[in-house]
Formats: sequence, C-alpha cells, structure tokens
Amino acid sequence: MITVCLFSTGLLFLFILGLVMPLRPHVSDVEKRELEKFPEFQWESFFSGEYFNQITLWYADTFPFRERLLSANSKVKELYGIKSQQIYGAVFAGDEIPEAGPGPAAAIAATEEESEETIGHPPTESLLAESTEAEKGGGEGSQEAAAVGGDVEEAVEAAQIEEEQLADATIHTEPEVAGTVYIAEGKGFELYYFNREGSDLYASVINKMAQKLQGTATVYDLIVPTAVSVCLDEKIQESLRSSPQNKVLDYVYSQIGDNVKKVSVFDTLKKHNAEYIYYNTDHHWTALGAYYGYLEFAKAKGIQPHGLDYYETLEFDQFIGSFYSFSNQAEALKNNPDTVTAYVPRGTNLMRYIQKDGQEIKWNIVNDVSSYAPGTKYSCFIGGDNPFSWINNPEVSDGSSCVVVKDSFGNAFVPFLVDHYQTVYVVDYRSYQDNLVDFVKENQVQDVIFVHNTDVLNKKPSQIIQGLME
Amino acid sequence: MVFSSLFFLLFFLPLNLFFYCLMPGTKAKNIEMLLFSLIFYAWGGPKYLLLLMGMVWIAWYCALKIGRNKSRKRKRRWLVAGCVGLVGVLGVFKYLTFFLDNIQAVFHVPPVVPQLVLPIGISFYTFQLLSYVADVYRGEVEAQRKYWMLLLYAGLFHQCIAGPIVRYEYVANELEGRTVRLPMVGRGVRRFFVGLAKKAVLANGCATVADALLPLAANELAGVPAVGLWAGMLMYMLQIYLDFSAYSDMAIGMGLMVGLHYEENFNYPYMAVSVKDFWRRWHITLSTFFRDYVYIPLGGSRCGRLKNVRNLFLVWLLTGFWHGASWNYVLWGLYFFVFLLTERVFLGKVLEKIPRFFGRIYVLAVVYFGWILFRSENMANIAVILKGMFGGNGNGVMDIQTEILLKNNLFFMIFAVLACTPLFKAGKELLLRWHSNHGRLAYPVYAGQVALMVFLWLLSVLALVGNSYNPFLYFQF
Repeated sequence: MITVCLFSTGLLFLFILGLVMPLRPHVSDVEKRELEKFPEFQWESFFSGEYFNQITLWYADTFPFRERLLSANSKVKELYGIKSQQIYGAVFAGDEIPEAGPGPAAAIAATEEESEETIGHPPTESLLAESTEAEKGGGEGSQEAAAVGGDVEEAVEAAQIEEEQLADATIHTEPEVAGTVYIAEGKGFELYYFNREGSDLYASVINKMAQKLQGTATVYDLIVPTAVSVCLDEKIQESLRSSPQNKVLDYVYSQIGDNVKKVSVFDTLKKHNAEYIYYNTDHHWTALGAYYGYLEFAKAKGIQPHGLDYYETLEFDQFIGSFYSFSNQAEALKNNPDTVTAYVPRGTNLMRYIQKDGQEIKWNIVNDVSSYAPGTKYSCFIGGDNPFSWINNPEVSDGSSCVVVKDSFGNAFVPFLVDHYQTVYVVDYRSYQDNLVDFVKENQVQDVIFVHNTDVLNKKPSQIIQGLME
Repeated sequence: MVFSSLFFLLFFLPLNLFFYCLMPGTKAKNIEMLLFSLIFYAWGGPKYLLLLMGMVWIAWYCALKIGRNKSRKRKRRWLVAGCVGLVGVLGVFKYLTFFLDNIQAVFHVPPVVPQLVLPIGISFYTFQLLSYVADVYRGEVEAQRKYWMLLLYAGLFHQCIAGPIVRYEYVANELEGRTVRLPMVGRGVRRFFVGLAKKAVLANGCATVADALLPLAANELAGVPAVGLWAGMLMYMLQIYLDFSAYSDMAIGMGLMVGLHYEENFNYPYMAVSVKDFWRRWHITLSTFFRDYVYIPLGGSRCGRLKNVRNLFLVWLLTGFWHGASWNYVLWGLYFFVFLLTERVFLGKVLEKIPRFFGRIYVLAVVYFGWILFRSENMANIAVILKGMFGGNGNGVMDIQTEILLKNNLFFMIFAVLACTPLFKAGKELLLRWHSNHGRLAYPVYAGQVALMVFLWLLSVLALVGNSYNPFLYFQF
C-alpha cells in the first residue's frame, strides 16, 4: 500500500516536473555546450525513427535541474572506489619519437594527399564541443573592467565598450581537451601522445610558411608543452604512456629550418615548475607560465622584456576549468579551484575583434570575468577565441606590428606583446578564414608569431595551418 | 525507447499507468495497452511497426486455420505455413546479410550485399508468435479470434523488445480478464525498481569499466595488460547478466502492476553447479523454448544415442545463432554444446559427487571464457584477448592506468559481484524469519524495503540524467 502510494506520488511529481518547460536548461556551463533542442518535425526523420530518438534525447538532456543532478551523481560515484588518482578517457600510446635529426627533412609530408585520420589518435575536436552561448554570464561584470584603463579618453571608450558588451557577451572558445585526463592530488593532466605524421606535417607547414614570408616578415615558433611533461615526474609519464614533450619538441624544432626563430620554452617552464604556471583544473598555462614564454620570446627577438611588477595585476578566483567537465565533474578538482591572475598591459587595455558571424566588437584585453561562470574564467584574456583581433597601442608609434597565430594558449600570451608593438594582430588559426600570407604582406607585418600547445603537432591542426597559406 | 531512459520512465510510463487506471473494463484497458505498445514500438522507427503487424497477421491467420481445420493433415499444413512465414521473415531481416556476406567471401557473388537493419525485438516477438502457433497446433490453447488481441500479446511493450519470451498459454487468460490487487502492484513496483537500479547503476557502471579495459580496436586491445583483460572480462560478465536480467525484472514488474504474470527469466545463473544447471537459470524462457519446440519434437533424449547428440547439437547451434548473425555466436553456442555433452557422458555424475563448491568454480570458468567468444564479432579480437590474458601481447601483468581504473572502481566492482548472488535476498529472508520466530511482525523489514525503494528510485534517476551511455545489450538479438 505504502509502496504503491509512494510510487504514484513520486512518479506524478517527476512527470509534472518533466513537463515544466521553463525549468528546462538550454546550455550547460560545466560541459560548455548547448543542450539538445526539441527536434523539428520532418517526414523523413519521422519514418526512420530519428525524430522520436531526438525527442528522447532532448527530454533527458534538458531535464530540469540537470546540472545539479549530474553533480549529485558524481558525488555518488566518489564512493565507487579509491579515488586518489583517476583516469578519464581512453588510453592510447604515442608513436616513437625519433632522435632530433639534422635539419628540416619533412617538406615532403606537406604535399601528401589527405588520407584518413590516424588510427589510435583522439580526434582534436569533439569531446568538449563548446558552443557559442555556453559562456554567457559576462555582461554585467564589465563596469570594473572599464576602470582598468588609464586616462579619460580611454574611460570614454571603455564606456562605449560596456554598451556593446551588453549587446553581446558571447565568448568563443574552441574545444581543446580531448583524449585522456589523469588526475592526481587535485590536479588534472592531459596525457600527451606523440603523432609522428602530424609532427612532420607541422614542421613542413611552418617551413613552408617561413619560405613564403622570406624577406617580408620574421617567423617565430613557440610551441607550449602541456602540464603533463612539465610538472609530472618522468617515470609517472612513462608509466602512463604519455610521450615526453621535451623530446617531441627537440625533434620537431630540429625539423624546422633556421629561417624560423624557434622559441623553446620547455626548459624554462620546467625550471619554474614549482610555481603556478599551469592551472589545476584546466589544460591551459597561467599568465605566469605565459610570462616565462614571453621572456624566451624577448630573448629570441632581442628586446628587453618587462618585469612582472611593470603590470597591473587582476585576480579572478573560483575558476574550475576544462578538466572538471571532462572528468564528468570529479570532486577532487572541484575542491581545488584555480585563481586566474592576469597582467594588464600598460599601453592600452583596449582591443577589437571580429566574431565568427563577422560582427566587430570592442573589448578589453584583460576583461573582468569575476561574474562569469566558474568554467569560463580563462576567457578573461583577449575575449577568448575569436577568428581575428587587433590591438593598437597609442604609446608606440614606430609602425611595428606582429601577427600572433595561436590557439587558446596564445590568449594568455598576447597581453605581454602589447607594449612592444604599435599593432598586435591576433589570428586564431582554427577559425580564421583568409589568407595569412597575403594579410602579412598587405599590412607589412614584421613578425609572425606562432603560439600554440603541443596538440598542434597532429595532422588536423597542421592541415588547418597549411590552409592559412591557400 | 528503452526502459532505462528518462523519457520512458518519467513520461511514457506515468501516462500509460494513469490512463490504464482510468479505463473502465478489461477491454478498454487492453485497448489502452495496445495503443501505448504501438506507440512504444513505433518509437524505434514507424516502418517496423508494419513488420510487427504483418508477422502477427501471419501467426493469427495460420492459427485460425489450424483451429478451424479438423483434419490433422491440414492442420499440419497450416502449421508449416505459419512457421515458414515467421522464420522466413526473421531469416531475411536477421540472417540474410550474414549469409550473403559469407557466400560473397567464398564465391565472390553477389557483388553487393544489402545491409538490412535488424528491426527492434524481432527475435523476441517472432519466438513468441512461433510458440503461439505451435501451441494452437498441439491443442494446448484455442486460436485467438481477435487479431488485435494477438497483436497486444506479441507487441506488449513490457516484453516485446527484450523478453522474457512469454508463452501465449501463460497470459491468454489474463489478457481476457484479470483482477489487480494492491499487494501485487506493490510487488511489481519493487521489482521494477530493483531492475531499474540494476540497469541504470550497476550494469551501466560495469559497462563503463568493461569498455575502458576492452577497447574495440584490435591495436588498442593488444595494449591492455593481462590483469586489465581479466578484470575487463569479469566486468563484461557481470554487465551482461545485470543488464539482461534487469530488463526482465522491469518487464515482470510492469506486468504485475497491470495484473499480468510473466515467467521468470533468470535465477542467479552464476550460482549454478553445472553447465546444465546454468542453462536452467540463464534466459530460462529461451532455453525452454528450444527444449519444447525443437529438442523434444525432434525426439529429445528418447531416441538413439546418435540422434540425441544430433538434437543437442542442433539446439545449441540454434541457440548460438539466435544471439546474433555472426560466427562468434555460433561458436559460443557450440562451446556450450561440448560441455553439456561432456556432462551428459560422465562429468555430470562426477559433479554430483564432489562438493558443490567445485561445480560452481567450474561453471564460472566455463561461462567466463564463453563470454570472451560472445564479446566480439571480430574473431581476431577474440584471439587478441585470449593471447593477452596469458601475457602473449607483451604488456606485462599490470600498468598504472589499469591499476588506477581498478582502484577507482574497487568498491563498485565488489558490490556488483555481490549483486549477482542471492545474498541480499537471503539477508531479507533471514530478517523475516527472525521476526516471525520471535513472534513479531516484521515492520522494520517492510519499512526498510520501502526506504530502499525510494533510495533506488533516486539513485536511478540520478544515474539516468545525462547518462548518455545507455545501450541495451540484448537489443541486437
């Protein structure tokens, strides 16, 4: 009797809850994706059953309080076993890393026909397919950011920015984490698997780029190792079958010609690995990590870098990044949130960028993200990932300019360049549609700086960079 | 639609039960159930609904003819017509691609093999209809005159797509008229929740571990160390039982809610003491189907020795083949044939004499290795697993990833193993007995039962929300 009553009321309650449309979420902050939409009716999908299938998916995917239920579920799963170390995602093994050879030899690979994806390697996209609206929640937070600038003129412009920010606070971040994540002591590490074919292709693409820009601009190549090789003991790396990225970088740089200035940052990062140079819960390097990268860049370019005390510092706490969502909300990470520290360039904090839909937006180089969702705070740097951005520094008037070709690791890096150039252009190679070589020539850019993490040493990213020349 | 989807659980089922209660008489209730069943079935692709209706029509028409004809010869003719029709359709949809693939591999014709999609539940409802036609022929049941009632029997969403294979004779009377009593509904509800939690929490959890340890690509599989493969196969063994028996639990539970009794399909198979015993406890409705409609009509064991072996062989060939149109399933069926034959010849007598413990170990070992055959339709993968289990792939015994994975799921795995034993049931009975021995009413036990149900309910909903990993293993059969 009691059973039946409880069952009926419980069922009725949940049935009604499932029908309350306004309670249904549309986006997931943690997973950074748009949830399923109710399908549009089509005869074709109706007969194949696909239409019904999508309704079922939609019903579950947008169930009221989904996020809270998910997090409760992951708490239950904490009881499944001993969770001091955890692994998420499939386990692979990388290719063998050849010894650093003499000089570039990989130019052949660039001309190869496109073949199928290499077996055994995780696709670069997919798992964290992020969507555009996922990172809403900005907007209001921009007042303080307006004060970051300096003089009156800037304040006026900053006020305009605020206006426009209210119109659209969407931030684009490309998916990057994929593959396998290892969690220990409250920190996540994305395991790295060397891909020979992708690495050779990458080297040849960079060589080709330098060749095309010979006499026009200097090409710098800064490949950022990810935390797993910098912060984890080598033996653990080996037992996890994660490829050592120092050897990978040695090899790749050895395949790139001397007309490219290779900015090797591994050793300096390794030296500083006791410092906060990578986030615990996110795959990116911190602004401090990027600062060490900047020091190496300054050395390669032969300029005098600024000290950290040169910059105004902003801090945003409670950042819980990509590893958290990838691990389906591991408690270990939730309990170890990050603080995002950002260094504001002196010359200006203003920038403009073009969105994917072509709209031009005024924004702050370092933006106040204190009111953003916990998963999105890395986007305080240059407005996240946008196809094209540019920064004019009123303090410099020597006509100097550079293009940063980057993935999201470049975002934390760009602010340090601002004080050294009159114009800094930023191209996200994954979404930029135009010909980069033409752009550099037309705008008489002097420096082309590639900044991306070692995931670029795969076939698909390299092919996309190759596409920038066509 | 699967039972363990939120849409079914929180939308379809409440609506179904709500309207069911509203309907005045048995006939109205039956019509309601039929409509919901048709919608349920159409959910997986409306075109297959026509197939289901067509097959029911074949069975309905042939059975009517059998019933109306007086002469044995004519009855027989209609029986053959019905069986050929039903098995023929099943054969086309389930086995044609497989046969043509094999013919093509040997003779290089036909140039293109058509790839047919297996309609959901066809293996289950075809067998239900076959048993119906055969039973009418044997005179065990009257032919059903109303087509829609037979459609209700075969298409009832409780058991249409993943069993149990309910025989018409068992439910015929209840379909015509039934009374629902509250304790029965309560029992049904509890049974349903046990099944749901078994599927949503345990089976899916086991699947996650098994899939992580037994990747599909052969090159990745070859990289898994020995302990990983052993543990992965163990989790697969648990998964397949928990998953399938959970489905039967839910079907039986939902049947009880509306006053229908279905046959039990599992009886703690991993506690069996011989392989023969295992098959009396595993997918019972399938083994009894083959026993009653294939083995015994062929003469069973009451004929010459050679014929008996032939009959056994045929039954196990078919059992294997029923599970899927692929050689590994055939092999899996024949694998059991070998052990059953051995037991019949001498091993069975030995097992009876030695302590049951050894019998259990023996069965578990046989079944465990059997699941390796079952796991992969790709024969090369089976070889990789077997080789790797004994260190043949050169990855050592253990690596850190496997270690972490196993540690991460240690308590869960122990619990899943216990869930396959009658431990919990025995515990409950012990408590009940203790109370009755002391002359008390077992209120704490009943209260605990209710609390447990609420707990399972919450746990299952949690596990189902956003749980994209939700395939029902037995759907492909």
